Amino acid sequence: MRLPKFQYLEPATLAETIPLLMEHQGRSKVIAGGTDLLVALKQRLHTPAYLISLSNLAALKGIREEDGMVTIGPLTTLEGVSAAPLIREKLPGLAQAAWEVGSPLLRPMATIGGNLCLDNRCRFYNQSLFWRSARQPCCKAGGKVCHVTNKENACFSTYSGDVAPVLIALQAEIKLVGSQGERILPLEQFYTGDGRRPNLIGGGEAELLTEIRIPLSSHTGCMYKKYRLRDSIDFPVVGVAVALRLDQPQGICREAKIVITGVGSRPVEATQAGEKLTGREMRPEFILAASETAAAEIHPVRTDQVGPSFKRHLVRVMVAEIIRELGGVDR
Amino acid sequence: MNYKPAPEGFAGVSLMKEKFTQVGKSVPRVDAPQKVKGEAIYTGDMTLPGMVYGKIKRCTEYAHAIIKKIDCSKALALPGVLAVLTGDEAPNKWGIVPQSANETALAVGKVRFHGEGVAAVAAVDEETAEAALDLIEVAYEPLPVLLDPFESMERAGEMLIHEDSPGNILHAGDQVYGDVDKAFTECAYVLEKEFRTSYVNHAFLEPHSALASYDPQNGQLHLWASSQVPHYLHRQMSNVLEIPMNKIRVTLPTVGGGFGGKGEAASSEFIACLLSRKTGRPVKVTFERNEVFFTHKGRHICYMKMKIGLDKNGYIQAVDFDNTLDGGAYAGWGVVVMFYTASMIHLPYKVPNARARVRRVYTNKPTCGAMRGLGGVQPRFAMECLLDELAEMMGVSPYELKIKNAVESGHTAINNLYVPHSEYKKCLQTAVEKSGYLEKHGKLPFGKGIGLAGGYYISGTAYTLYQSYKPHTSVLLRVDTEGGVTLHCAAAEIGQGCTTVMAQMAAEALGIRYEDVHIVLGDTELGAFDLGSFASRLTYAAGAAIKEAAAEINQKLKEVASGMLGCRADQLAIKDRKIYSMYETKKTIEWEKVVQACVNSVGALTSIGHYSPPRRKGIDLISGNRVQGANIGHSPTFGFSCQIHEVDVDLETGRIRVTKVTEAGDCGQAVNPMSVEGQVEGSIMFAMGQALYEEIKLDENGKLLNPSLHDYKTPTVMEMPEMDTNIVDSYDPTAPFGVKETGEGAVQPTIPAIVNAIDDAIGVRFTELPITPEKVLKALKKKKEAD
Ligand SMILES: Cc1cc2nc3c(=O)[nH]c(=O)nc-3n(C[C@H](O)[C@H](O)[C@H](O)COP(=O)(O)OP(=O)(O)OC[C@H]3O[C@@H](n4cnc5c(N)ncnc54)[C@H](O)[C@@H]3O)c2cc1C
Ligand code: SF4
Repeated sequence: MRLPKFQYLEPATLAETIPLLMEHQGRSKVIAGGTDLLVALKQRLHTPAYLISLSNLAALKGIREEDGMVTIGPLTTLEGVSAAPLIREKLPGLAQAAWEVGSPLLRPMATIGGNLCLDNRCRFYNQSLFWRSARQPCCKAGGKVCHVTNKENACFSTYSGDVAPVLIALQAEIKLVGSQGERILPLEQFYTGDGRRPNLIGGGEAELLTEIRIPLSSHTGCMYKKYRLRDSIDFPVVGVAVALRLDQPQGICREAKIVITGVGSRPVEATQAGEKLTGREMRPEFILAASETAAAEIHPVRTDQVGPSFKRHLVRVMVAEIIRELGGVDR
Repeated sequence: MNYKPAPEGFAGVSLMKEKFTQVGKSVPRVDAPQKVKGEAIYTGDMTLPGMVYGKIKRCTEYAHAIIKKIDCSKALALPGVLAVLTGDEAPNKWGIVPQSANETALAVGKVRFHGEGVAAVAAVDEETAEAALDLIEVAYEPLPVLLDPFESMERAGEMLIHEDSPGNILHAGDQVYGDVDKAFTECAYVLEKEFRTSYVNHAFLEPHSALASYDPQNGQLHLWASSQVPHYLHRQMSNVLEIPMNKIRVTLPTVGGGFGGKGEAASSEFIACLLSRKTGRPVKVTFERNEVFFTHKGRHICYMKMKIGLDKNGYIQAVDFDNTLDGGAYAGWGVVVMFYTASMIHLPYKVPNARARVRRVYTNKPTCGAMRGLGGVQPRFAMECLLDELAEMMGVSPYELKIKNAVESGHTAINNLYVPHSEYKKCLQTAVEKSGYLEKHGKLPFGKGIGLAGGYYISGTAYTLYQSYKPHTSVLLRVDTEGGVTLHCAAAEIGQGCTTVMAQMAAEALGIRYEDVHIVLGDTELGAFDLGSFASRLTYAAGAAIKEAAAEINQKLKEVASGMLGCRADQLAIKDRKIYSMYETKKTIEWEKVVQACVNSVGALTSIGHYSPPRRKGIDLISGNRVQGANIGHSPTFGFSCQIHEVDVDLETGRIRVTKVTEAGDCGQAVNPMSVEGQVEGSIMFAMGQALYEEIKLDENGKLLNPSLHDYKTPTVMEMPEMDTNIVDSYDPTAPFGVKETGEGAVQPTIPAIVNAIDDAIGVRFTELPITPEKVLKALKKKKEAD
């Protein structure tokens, strides 16, 4: 498959980038590592007239720690994130999630910002133009009806990024910069839950993700587990991130955040499951209750090769497994 | 019999093996550095002056429809478009089996599967060609889509996929040997089960690519193509284009894998040639991955019923086999694959009574064809699983049952398959010992299991696919003082490593080093005749031809050397680039000096060697008796193997991991043990894909759902187990250099070994592939409810 024709713009600074975004709004796409975007272009999911490259924006690269907060530039590669000593030591769950993305060939190119901005996926959408031309366009592709559910004007495409669940569980914030200036918001608010436009800038808004900030004090333990059909290349069937704040090792849980990818149109937080653990000791019956609750809280739709009931089963198994490991509880 | 005499008239097997200096060495592959460095030139990398691009318009709308009208006028009017082509312009049918050839370069009259080509364009660049495809208007009248072979047979009265194939059956056959029904009544243990295999593609790395250059001045056509069968491609190109074969030249640049998928001509090749003839310009057609899935030719989906009976001592008395092969839309290799499945029940065990009833059915799917281990993988799955279960019924180890029935050297099966040499028992023993199978089987904790399966494969076929008596392989050896030794053969290096082993065998036969031999392959004009790379035939066939050719060169050199050394020519030996007297070792001369002398006195040395396989049907040349039996399945010799797989079943997620494979193979004399190991490891990965991961999926209208390597799940290196591969000591004295095969035999045991291991782990016998986590969880749940 070949790329469609486009003009390639390489602004040197952030200050140059925003006006370009505004000028070409609706006709352009931002490109970071390109590992997702180039596939989408080849499949003609987008045919922008301009690609605005972020590769020269050195300020958007790198990782640093300040006042109990880790800041990551969105252009940092996933290889960089997963290998950084600071991340491995203080945020091993994040290192793990970054390492689980795609394959070793992708991670040195793929950026963490691109990962957070990842478009939702669906077996009827992420296909070549030829494949899609065999059917009417679905809602996400500008048509009327959804091929998965047969409903009109609704898209249930699945958020399948690996990194966002951990960051949401860690209560990370992001900075967006646009013509109106900058705004900082919790990452979870970045996702809309609308399959057609899954995040705040996915609709071609003239805004950039410029910073990711992770507080170090929000948790005492965090872990990510991914289930996929093959142990390389594949997107998650289900990915579960859990961050716990225990008052002491194996003590009482003060806060539990369970965030799941691959099961809905956004990273899904199993809030009720988290509440089941809050104020409790790490005991098998509470863990079981939390995992059952998490499985009941998700509503997966058959947007990939795996059925919803299997996903629910996986969530039950994986949530329990992670909490046991984090809480130091034997089976 | 066409066996060549053993070299220099020696008989003792071990003596001959010790003599080898080039054969039996793990020398690096001669084509490896170029590939690793990215310097190998594939067809897709090539450009010729004035070259244009061909693209194919495919039917996206239907899997079965009458073509009412094709309007190419708008496409033709697009600037940059040089020509358009429709099926009517080249209606001659092609197909590897001439009796059933029924494909055309582009669909004529109707389309029979989703994605079939209906028109093609040639344009100055790919963008223009693609734009032109959108301008071609095709009107269809949809027909009922038949996707299930049983439905297809049932509804044949209402809808025929091919007018000339009543019942929607390409071909059906019964092969009955002995009295199966009577034998079953006398059996102590009888077991019958149904099995179904999945719809899988080869997933070779390089998509089909063809570059054709037709010279309107002299009417000569040159085709560069990614093919396993330059000869069959050559022949069919001549039929379709109505150009004599001697006006067509087929050249293979580097080929990025085939596994049977390039084992017949491809539409890309016809279209490139037709468009080149039409435009007078070189035309390149390279498939995209989804086109590889549309043109497919992968493994047949088999719906099998197998019944095996044992006497009270565990000896196999009868095998009854019923197989419905879902072959998709066209014939392809279908008849051959069908009869192979029938023939594969006769080995690697002694089966005194056997019956096969087989039929190959048309459906509206991309066509099935040849795929590594063709016709063997499906019945092997059924047979090795049934034998495991029968052993359980008898209360013995599957190993005991299988070794008891295993064939030995000199075995003639009831259908007249002759096995000159077998180390199958040694394979079983080696794998069992090295894996600790007997200590583990039935004794591992729930969720962990170990499974054993055996297998075998042909090492070449007995017949050409069209009526002919010509040798299957010829090699031309040329020795001179400039180029050294050059071997010319139109064989296809598709990554299996034939270039290297041919160099090793030629060097061995000539008494020189493998680095000294230049191998020129893959060109029908430069090379002497070869049938193609399929049926694990080339090492054996080329080996025999090389020996014959080398003997002639050696004789000439010895005659010249005898004068130089002052001794009789028949007392000379050639080894390690020296010619010396076997009796007076002082009388030695450099090989190169003799070559020089020879060239100076009589001119450059050339010789040609041939190989024709023994025929085992018709009149036996020696006895004069009429020999009965199926003609498919015969082979000059057979390779054997055993695999033992250990699996871990995650009881919570259903995920199966193969953790360790212990393999032992009888490939005859290994010409290059490192290459054998590569073939075996590749085979395990290949068949593991079908067992656990891969499946082409269609929707209810026959549209392909996952025609990409992202959605079609081949195992990755992360799925690979620890592998302990062992080459058992073997030497087939009837074979050139004692060789057999290893490229296809090693895929045979993988699926049943995994399935048997899963049974050992969780007590569930799967009979359908692939065994996905969801299926495992369902089965575990059902088992729990039943307990
Ligand atoms: C074979 C394959 C396997 C994959 N497997 C996985 C997987 O397992 N898990 C997973 O999570 N992902 C996977 N991916 C998707 C993708 O590779 C990763 O998500 C990657 O992190 C995307 O980053 P990128 O820099 O390449 O993004 P790009 O492709 O450059 O961009 C992706 C999107 O983000 C936007 N964008 C990028 N940076 C910014 C920014 N700073 N501000 C605003 N918008 C921005 C782009 O406009 C684009 O819409 C896979 C992709 C492939 C091809
Ligand atoms: S969920 Fe429906 S609308 Fe959304 S991408 Fe899939 S088919 Fe299209």
